[in-house]
Amino acid sequence: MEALFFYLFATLAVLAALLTVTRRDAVTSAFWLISCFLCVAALFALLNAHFIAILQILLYAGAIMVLFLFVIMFLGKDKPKQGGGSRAMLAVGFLVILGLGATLARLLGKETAAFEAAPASFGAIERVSELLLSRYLFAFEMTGLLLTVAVIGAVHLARREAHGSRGAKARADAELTRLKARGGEGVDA
Amino acid sequence: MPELSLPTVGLGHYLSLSAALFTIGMLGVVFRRNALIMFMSIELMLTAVNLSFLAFSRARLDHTGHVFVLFVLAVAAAEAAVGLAILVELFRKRDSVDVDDFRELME
Repeated sequence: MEALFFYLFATLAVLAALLTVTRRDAVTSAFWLISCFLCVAALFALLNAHFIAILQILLYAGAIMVLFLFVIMFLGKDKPKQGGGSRAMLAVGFLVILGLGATLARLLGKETAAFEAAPASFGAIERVSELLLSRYLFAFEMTGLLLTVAVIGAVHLARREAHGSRGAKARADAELTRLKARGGEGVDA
Repeated sequence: MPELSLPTVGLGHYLSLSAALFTIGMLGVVFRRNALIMFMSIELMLTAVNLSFLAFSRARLDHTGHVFVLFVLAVAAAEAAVGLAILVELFRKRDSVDVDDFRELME
């Protein structure tokens, strides 16, 4: 039964991943990536990592991909270009395929023994959090710091220049009057 | 009654799947020119690595892999937030998300 689910979700994940990198439209790509993440979350659950599986759905398929979709739709017009990578780039790509394909074939050949049965408590959130809050406490706190820094950095980078040059101020004022005018029309209509 | 012979699933299967997903993600980074899709391919590679962490964790019955996946998830979230902010800023300056349009440092 476990093997059945593994093959089902593994096939779906690889298909969704292939569709992610081959679709031209970034929105389509993002939706395929979300389905790929959902399949991988199912595989995480098969590996007894229930907590991580839930996090994968909430964080990756939820938060991060919503951020992606938001940015894709915010950037809007994406003019597709023909051609793309140079000949050297293509060669590098094929080397990558060859190298990783060879690794894949070697991995398939060995280590096919089934997992030994896990104790019932394996993967329980208590076990994970015990480790997280004892041996890896410092790293855990640093993760919090990293996320804070990332949020501040992202807000600073993406912010429009609020108190920058006079030109920016003038533009903002013009935008404001335009919006007000449009708002007035809306009320009249 | 004959046993229904389903093949068993072990570490090798999960590692192969992880390698396949990682390869696909890497191809996306190498071949695609759209910065957004390159970003998504990087996320795919991170997920593939997470899968192998969890598979090793399951094989050794050790929870350290779970903890590492948590850290990878946090770093991926930070990376996506900052990376997308940079991309939005680049788009404002250049009106494009094609990486071939951002190559002044190479020339």
